[in-house]
Amino acid sequence: MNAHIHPSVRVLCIGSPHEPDNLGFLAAHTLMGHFNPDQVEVLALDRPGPRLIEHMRGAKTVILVDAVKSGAKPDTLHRLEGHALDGLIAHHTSSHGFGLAETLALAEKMGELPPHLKFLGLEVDKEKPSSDVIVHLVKAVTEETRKALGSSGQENLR
Amino acid sequence: MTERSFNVNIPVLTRVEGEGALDLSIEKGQISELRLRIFEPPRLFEKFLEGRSYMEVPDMVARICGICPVAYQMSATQALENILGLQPGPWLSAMRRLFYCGEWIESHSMHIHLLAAPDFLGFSNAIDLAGKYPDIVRRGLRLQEAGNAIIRLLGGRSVHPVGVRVGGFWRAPSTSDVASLLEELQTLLPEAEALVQWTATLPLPDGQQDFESVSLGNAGEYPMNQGRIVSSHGLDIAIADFEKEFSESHVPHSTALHCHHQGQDYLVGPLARMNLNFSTLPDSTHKLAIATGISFPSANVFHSIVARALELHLAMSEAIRLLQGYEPSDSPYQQGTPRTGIGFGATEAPRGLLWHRYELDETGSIVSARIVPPTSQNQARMEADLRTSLNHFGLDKPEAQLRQHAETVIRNYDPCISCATHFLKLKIQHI
Repeated sequence: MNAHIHPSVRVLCIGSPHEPDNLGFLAAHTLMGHFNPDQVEVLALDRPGPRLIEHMRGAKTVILVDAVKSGAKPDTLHRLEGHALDGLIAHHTSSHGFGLAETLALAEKMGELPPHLKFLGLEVDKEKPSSDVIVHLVKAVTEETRKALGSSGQENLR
Repeated sequence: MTERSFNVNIPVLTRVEGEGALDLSIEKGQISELRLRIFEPPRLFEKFLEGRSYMEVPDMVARICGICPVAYQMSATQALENILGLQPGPWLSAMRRLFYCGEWIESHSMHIHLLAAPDFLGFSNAIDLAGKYPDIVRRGLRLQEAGNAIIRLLGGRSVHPVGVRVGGFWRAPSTSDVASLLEELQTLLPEAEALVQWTATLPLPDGQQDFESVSLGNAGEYPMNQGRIVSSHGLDIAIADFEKEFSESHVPHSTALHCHHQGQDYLVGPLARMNLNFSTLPDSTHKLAIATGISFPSANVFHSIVARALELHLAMSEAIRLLQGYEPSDSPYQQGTPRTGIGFGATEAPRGLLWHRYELDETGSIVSARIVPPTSQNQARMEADLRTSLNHFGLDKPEAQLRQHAETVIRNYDPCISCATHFLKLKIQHI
């Protein structure tokens, strides 16, 4: 249901608009003014489930941003791409929901994963992430987006 | 028939919404105990609503379910408008039907492709199904997204929509958004037709059962938002009389209430609706239904998946019709004045009849609320079906096959346990 042409670089931030699972929303709203919207699409997606596939379709690079609970130290930034994502895609264990891992596994089976997929996850605990941590995450996403734009020969930031 | 005794335990039922389990004891070749255990904690929504303004109800009840929020909003607004004396005009009735079409398309497509179809084709989940049939799953996702787009048009967003208020919608959609959506749906209609044809080819289990179908009916159309409560046993009552005929009770093994009609289990949902309202299908859906070779009313509960696909096609056709006739409105809602009273609402959620009752005080605060979701109504029927289906399947089958068949039976009902508590571990005990 896309009425316009989407840029080939997309930053898809996943989460809820409400605390405590609002990291993706906070990141998306901070990132939205950073890029030329003709070159980079930044979206905040509220628990998209399989609809994520629709948002990735046609993109050359997708940078996924989400909160992570892996048992690592809170505020740890996880960067996954290439084969490092295999573990995440294989780890689909939800009994009734379609979470990120299930959706990526489904996309892979259907040949719908973008050529370049990167995952930036911030380890969270029960506490709300500090603004410093959000800034750190936004910097990391900006850096990955620049690399993607550079490799596709497009302009960088506004 | 073997005389063995054993227990089967399905500790967590997968591919259902919510958390539950099945305990099954087979003693000397007979089922001695069968309990569909719903252990998800009670969600107490009815209690949360007490003391809140009637205007808060549509947003609050939308939170009961991420898959069928429209149903909760539509039953609630109907009941509250019943108290306020508001009558929806033709524009609002059409938009509410359009809104409901979106939810049926989204929910039915998800259930058919991601939850139920893997059972009938021998896959453990939709991800494995997508490995062999990527185009089928892709079609399912496209249809699901179309449903979500309809919900967004009127609700602002597809999950827990916020566009609904008592009296109507906060705003009317723009003609340009309507035109864009109409074009998308017209493109997808052949896919909805292909879906019906595909479900009719699935190797569905046989098995005729004796059950009562209950749904809205006598609505002058295939029911979504209005009608009387009718059944295959001749029931025909106003929605306000639900409590005189139907009773809920606690069972020790479930945090969801079991609902009975005059002490008997009954079926709600797509097959019940199709069984009772077949003659009201629009011509195009009716022709597709005839071509499936299934004769409705059907006593094979596994025909639910075909009924679901037919309803998806109906909803797509109806949505196109309603969008083609769309005229924007300067008054998408009516303003009500709070007053004391009791009101009733009943609409057809994707999973079946969803009944609400509210009492308001003179300030418009909720004094009491009662919500009877479809999964509660189907629980006793699911247990009865499991007994019949497992006996028909053969209790001498290996435990793994019994487990798979039990899960298939339950998933066929598309239970939404999160709504009902407000699903499945299977524990089979050979004694």
